[in-house]
Amino acid sequence: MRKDKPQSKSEKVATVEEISDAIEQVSPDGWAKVYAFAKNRARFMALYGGSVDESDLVQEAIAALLQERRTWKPSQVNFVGVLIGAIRSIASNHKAKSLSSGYSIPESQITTTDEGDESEAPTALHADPRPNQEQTMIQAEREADNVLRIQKLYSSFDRDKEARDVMDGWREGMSGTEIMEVLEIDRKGYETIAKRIRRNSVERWSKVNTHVS
Amino acid sequence: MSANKRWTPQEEERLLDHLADSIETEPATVIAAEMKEGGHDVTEIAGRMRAAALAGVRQFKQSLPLTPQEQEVVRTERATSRVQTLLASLRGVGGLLAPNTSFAPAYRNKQEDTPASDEELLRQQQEDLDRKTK
Repeated sequence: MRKDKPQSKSEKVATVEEISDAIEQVSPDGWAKVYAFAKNRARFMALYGGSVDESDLVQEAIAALLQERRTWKPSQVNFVGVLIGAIRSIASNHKAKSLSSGYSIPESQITTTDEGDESEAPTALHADPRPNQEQTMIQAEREADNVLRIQKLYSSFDRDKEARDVMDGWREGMSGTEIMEVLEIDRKGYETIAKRIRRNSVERWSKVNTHVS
Repeated sequence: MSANKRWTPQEEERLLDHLADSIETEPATVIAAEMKEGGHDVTEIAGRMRAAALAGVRQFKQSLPLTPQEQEVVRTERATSRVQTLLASLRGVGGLLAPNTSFAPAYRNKQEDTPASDEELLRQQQEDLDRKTK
């Protein structure tokens, strides 16, 4: 799935000027996609002690793109894709760092995921394994907000059994293929349901400066 | 299946991962349209994201080593600053080294080493004055 890190030696390194130009050329829709993705990953990072928002992640992603001197072939990968890949990498590194430094989420049933990118950004946002009292309170509040947000999303599908079944499958760690088999639906049907859930979440969760929606 | 069960962080992570994949693979126009349908101001959001991205460029530029020209400017500024600090400190010390402009106390406290001939001359003049007054 990842397309943001071309490896060919013939590909050139993106310069500050190229990155700056690319930033100026991203459409509002492109930024909306980056925003939705970054907001999702900020919530993911909050599960591992992270306290960043979508703007922090975008800023870190740009700095990391330049600092890591990643290659980028504009003709093959659009800038939004590169940015999303960098954000994903920051979030994954944050989780790895958090776990290796002793941080654990309340439900210690963490499954390993194949993120496909083991590079470590020098600007990776590290969680403090020993949060102070204020951080603990903020973290607890954030976790409560996140759980409530998820509960509301789930409840919004009270009358959509298909969506609930797919969410239940995700919840139990089933892959898309497994869910399709259990629900006896084809890929197109599965993707349609998944989009329905995503659309609902994007509509609900994209509010600026809102903890719970 | 699990309608009334509270979502755990692990379950939430799985959900977030699926949603992230879905966002990543969907065209930007679709995501933006969904946000608009939710009543969100995409223009405002785009402005904030663009500003954050430009802040990332600034952050990187500030971390870069200086060019020779920039290093020269910094060296000059540093040298100027040091000279100014030195001069300022010398001005403070200068008060101690400068000659005392108030001579009266020094004159009063001075222990004059008057030559014997001068003392004799002064004594004679004093006797002359005494005689004239008589």
